[in-house]
Amino acid sequence: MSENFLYLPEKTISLKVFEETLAATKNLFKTHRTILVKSKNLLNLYASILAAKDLGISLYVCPSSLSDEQVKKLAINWSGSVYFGEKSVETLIEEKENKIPYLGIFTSATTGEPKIALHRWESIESSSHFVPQELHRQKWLLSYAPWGYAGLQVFFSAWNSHGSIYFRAVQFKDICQDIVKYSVTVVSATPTFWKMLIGAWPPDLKVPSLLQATLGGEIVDQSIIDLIDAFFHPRHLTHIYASTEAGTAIIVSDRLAGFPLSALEKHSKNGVKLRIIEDELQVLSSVGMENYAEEAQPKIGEWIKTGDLVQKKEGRVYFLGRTDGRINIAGRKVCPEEVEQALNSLDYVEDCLVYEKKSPIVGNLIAADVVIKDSEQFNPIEIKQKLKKLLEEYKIPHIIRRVDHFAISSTGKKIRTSP
Amino acid sequence: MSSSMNDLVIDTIREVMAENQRSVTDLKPETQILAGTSLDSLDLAIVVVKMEIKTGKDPFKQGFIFFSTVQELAKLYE
Repeated sequence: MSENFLYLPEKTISLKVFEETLAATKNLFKTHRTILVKSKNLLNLYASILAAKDLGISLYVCPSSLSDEQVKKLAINWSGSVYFGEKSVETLIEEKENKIPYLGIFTSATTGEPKIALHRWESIESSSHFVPQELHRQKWLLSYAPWGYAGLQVFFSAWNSHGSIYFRAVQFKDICQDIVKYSVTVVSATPTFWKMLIGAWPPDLKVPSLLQATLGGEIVDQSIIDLIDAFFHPRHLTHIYASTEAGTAIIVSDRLAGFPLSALEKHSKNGVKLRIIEDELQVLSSVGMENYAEEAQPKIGEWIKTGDLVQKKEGRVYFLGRTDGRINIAGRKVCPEEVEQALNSLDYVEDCLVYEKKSPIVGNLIAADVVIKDSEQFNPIEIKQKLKKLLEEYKIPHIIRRVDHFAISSTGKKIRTSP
Repeated sequence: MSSSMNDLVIDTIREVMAENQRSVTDLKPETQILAGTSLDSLDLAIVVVKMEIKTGKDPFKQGFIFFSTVQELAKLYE
């Protein structure tokens, strides 16, 4: 194993320190059965995950955006204790006895209570065992939220291949410098992240050749594959289709967008079957989640409706968008109706229409057309400020335009497509 | 390259800086938009959509085209 395990903005953590933290965390966790963990500190988060796995207990990994109070509330609902990466585990309620220990991962729920998808430890780790030998002992760049499905995959892949992880909050200029400084060779990121990384690359900084470039989390088109190929010349270039519920479902390595039709006919090596019903991709996965934390019935063995629309064309299957009209903002789903309600609650807004605006840079943006009441001023800065008090930050429309009226369909509904 | 398109890109970046309360930085045709200003990827995406609205052109219709500086972006709309 390489000597250091984590390269963080504030410090580098050696493997020895990581293993000591892991041992201490196991000691803290050993009398528990179900724990909710929330920590911005990657050392504590990763030590918690491996401690829970080794002890065979359940661990629910909470987004760092949740408040301590929210986590405690969920812990009571789900009969778990809480750990915030400090010296002790706080017990609030009698813990659930789990027949099967799980790793719980938050899903991007739109409204209401957050959902947590429960994965068996062996299935969440399964694809990390396919990391080829030549990618062992490499440095991985973590670009995803550490607590999400993709981020956890990076962690398990790096850990199980004796690699190390570089992580920094989004400051692209620094990431470029550090990729070179720390000799990062494996990068897994969304198409948006890749575009930003390449766009921010300083002209005087030599571009390293990567061993592995991986894309996922958003629709991958040919232009982004070609861009990464030409810029970083990666030895392997892969795009992955995965979800918190279905797990890793499709892995494509032929440097072409979409995936081959033949994938619909056979089991992949990690036990995943695919089918298309009414243009929607469905996945039957043995490595997906077992069920949600609130539900008793196992979902494993059921076909999962992904909500992703696909199209067959010339021997391949391409992704088109979402079935449900929700807007996907960097993996988080936004209901346009919810944003419209908030906008309509403002005094000077007469009516509004919120819709998805495709962006070549970030996948999607939220656009809002508003009709302003007579004699009122249109001030998009003020509208955004007011919406911040009503909505979470990621639901605030990115583009707000003043219009006189909306296009109406034959059924009398506002047409919710990008003009 | 006409300087007016550079100016339009610069004005649009300033607009987004104001709307999203980013710190105002000096903008020149050769400024790298992400590395040399306070804009993040989302802000840049908004700049691109606003440019589409202002010019009526969508140079990214067929997919992403690489650009880094103000003038490289401006050139796509000419």
